[in-house]
Amino acid sequence: MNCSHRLPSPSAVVALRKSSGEIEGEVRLNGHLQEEVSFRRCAAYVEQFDMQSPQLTIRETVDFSARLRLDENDTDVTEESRQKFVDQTLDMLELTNVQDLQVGSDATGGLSFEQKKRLSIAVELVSNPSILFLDEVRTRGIAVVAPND
Amino acid sequence: MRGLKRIALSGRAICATIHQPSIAIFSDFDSLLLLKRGGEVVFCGELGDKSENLINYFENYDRTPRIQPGENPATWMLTTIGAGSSSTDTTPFDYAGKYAQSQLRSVALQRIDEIVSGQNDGNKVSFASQFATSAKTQAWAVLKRTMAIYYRTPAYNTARMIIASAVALIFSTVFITFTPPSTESTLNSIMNSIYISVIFLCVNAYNTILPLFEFERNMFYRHKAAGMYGTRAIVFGFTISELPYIFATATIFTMLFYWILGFRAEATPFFWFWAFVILTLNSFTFLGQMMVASVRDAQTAQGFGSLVIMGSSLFGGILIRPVSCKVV
Repeated sequence: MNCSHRLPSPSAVVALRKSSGEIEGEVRLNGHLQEEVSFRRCAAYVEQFDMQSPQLTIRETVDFSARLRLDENDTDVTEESRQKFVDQTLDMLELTNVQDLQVGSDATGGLSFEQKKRLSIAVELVSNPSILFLDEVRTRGIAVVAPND
Repeated sequence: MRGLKRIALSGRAICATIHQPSIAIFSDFDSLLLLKRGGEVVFCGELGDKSENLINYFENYDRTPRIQPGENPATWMLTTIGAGSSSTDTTPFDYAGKYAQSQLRSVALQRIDEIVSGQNDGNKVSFASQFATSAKTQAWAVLKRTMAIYYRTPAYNTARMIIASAVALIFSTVFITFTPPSTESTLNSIMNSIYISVIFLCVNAYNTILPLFEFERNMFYRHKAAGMYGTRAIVFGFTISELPYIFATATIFTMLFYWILGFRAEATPFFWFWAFVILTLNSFTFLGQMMVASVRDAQTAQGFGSLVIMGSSLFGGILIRPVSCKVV
């Protein structure tokens, strides 16, 4: 907490997003030592700074992630079930209304800071992860909707 | 936050790093791992209703200032452990040291032991492959994505075609001639005009690909970390997406430049010229992609670009004639 921004956050280290510097200790998953390939497949990580291609629409961005991160050998994953899952995810993060808008950039307008954060979460969530990491969520991004809780 | 709570309720674990959350957000968390400067653990455990576990734990120590009614427990705990910048306490209370001896820590360690000893094949999360999809699926999905990105970036694609027409028009009209060159110097000036206009086009191609590709490269690093697709897929996508635009740009340039300058209306020289422009544009555009892929950012790549262009000018056969080059 409140540590220098140049230090990687513990979640970045656990989620294998930062490998510089000296890292000690071991990471275990259900008691099993962390194994890179499997861990990357079952975990999702939302970076501190949101970055999504400005030219694509919100739905395309989420759908791209779903297409490449849901196991295509799984018989439950069909075009139809994937679209449904994308719909549900967009709905859960309240992005359904803006799904056909382009992400845009700060220079040209586009999504608000908070919508972008929710989009980043949706992109990760649609991979159906067991665990979702959120790196240094600046509360401004999600606080906007908090008072309605 | 409403979204996050919903995700958590759907049975997914969420692990968030957060600085100074508001009270509304803080009260939505179930458990907290509090680290002080230097990464030492100060608190680890469930927060309890209205953060009561956290408050009770800290208030157990006599040195802890009591929490005021209505005070945000998150702010209070940070001030208490001296994480705030306004801390003037000369002999700060060692919360990390206290935690190391606390009941809370032994409970946490015990829990870890339980989990470690409880490992079996049934609760092992294991994936055999790095990616969820085949190389073919990845390549097509990435191609579809890059095609869409290219199509929706007129600032890059329409602009280069306009520049190609402008360069072709300006250079060809400046050197316009209606008779075949009769002296060596007129031939020279025509050769030079070809060289200068093509290199101009290429420098433009090299420089304009840089920012776009830099962004998508950074995007790719994230996608790669998330195990979405491999390097081959992005190379495939960005190569194929470039080709139609390079072809169109080269064609616009050739059609204007070749005919205005009054070159021979014969198939062989015309198609050679056309192919030459396409290939040169290819070289410089993909060189731009390569540079951004290998150096830190677009600015650095631009710096290296001038080196490449210098090399190309020196050894392109214009400044130093092929006859002057000693062939070993």
